[in-house]
Amino acid sequence: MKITEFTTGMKLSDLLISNPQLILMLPRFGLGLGFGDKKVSDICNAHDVSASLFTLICNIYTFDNYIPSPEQIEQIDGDSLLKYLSASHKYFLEKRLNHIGKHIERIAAQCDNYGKMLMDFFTGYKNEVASHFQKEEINTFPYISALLRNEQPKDYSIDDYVKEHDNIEDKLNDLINIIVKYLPEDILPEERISVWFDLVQVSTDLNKHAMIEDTILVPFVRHIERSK
Amino acid sequence: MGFERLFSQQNNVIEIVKSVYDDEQLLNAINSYNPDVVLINPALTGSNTINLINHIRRQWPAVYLVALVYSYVERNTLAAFDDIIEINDTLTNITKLLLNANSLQEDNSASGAETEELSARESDIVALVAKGHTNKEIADMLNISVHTVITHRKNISKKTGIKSISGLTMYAILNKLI
Repeated sequence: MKITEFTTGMKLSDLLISNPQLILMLPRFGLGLGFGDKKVSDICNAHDVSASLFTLICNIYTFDNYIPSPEQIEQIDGDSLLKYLSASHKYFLEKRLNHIGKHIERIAAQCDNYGKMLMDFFTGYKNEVASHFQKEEINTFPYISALLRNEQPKDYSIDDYVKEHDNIEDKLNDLINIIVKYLPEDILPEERISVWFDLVQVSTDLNKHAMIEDTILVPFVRHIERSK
Repeated sequence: MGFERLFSQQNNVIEIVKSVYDDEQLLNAINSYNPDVVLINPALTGSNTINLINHIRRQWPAVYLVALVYSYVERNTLAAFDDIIEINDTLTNITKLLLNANSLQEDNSASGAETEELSARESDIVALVAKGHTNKEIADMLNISVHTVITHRKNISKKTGIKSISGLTMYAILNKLI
């Protein structure tokens, strides 16, 4: 049930006021700052970005139970969606997780007995995320690009993706708990509070990312597969 | 569907709030009715059952998901559910399972299972998991069923907030359980 939703006719600054997290969408879509009081549609058009995809993703990020309609799914610009997802992957791995890694390193350096274990845990998690994204970039995205070019790729379908799409959220939640609840009290409390915010934020972001894959990517690709 | 008839003849402890016939209707119904338990026949969701379940868990983490199994279903798919009802289960068993599911949910929110400390048995199990033992091995060592080990592990994760084996290993070391 959609009670409220963003539309392309709204001011981008109003979207950001109602959900500050949406600022993260700008670099992923190749949109810059300094947009003044322009409408979403004008900003997107000027940058050759699909305004409907932009608002759709902002809606999923903001309204917890937002479910796109079949018409919205059918109208998606597939190339823009793939570009957005790849940019998100890059952001998570190269920006967020590296930043968090530096915090964890400093914390680990202060833990005599557990430092290496903490670092290994984080590196293990990061590698898991990297291989999760890599699978999508190597198998799924090229398959979808081929479908969009009207080719008929063999031996892969979106069902394979769904089967392989594993959960990368558990370990991150474990890390959040370990950092705050289980490391001894005296180890770098300020640093831990700071990284806690980073971890919680990236956890929400990854959760929404997975939701976009479930509620947009999968139904969209099924729609193209059916129309072949 | 037979299920609705079964429960309408019963008492009013369990109420079927809505029956739906495809994934989209299901998501809309969960959104509108906020049910305690959702029964899903995996054969009717097609090959995207796990995807559907992941989606429901993300958006409505409190919903208890039960597979309604009429025919062969892949193990991985079944493992994604909280519980399973098979076609030849008796009505009493089914009712018990559903009520149990419901009280489990209430326990979590009301008494705050996550604030309690681990019991001695649960601590033993964390230590064994941290040492790399499988659920089957732990069951044999403690002389309990695999099912009981799994229940303990679910409770451990609820209390500690930690699910992964490497996370539990860190927990065990930090709390000097091993």
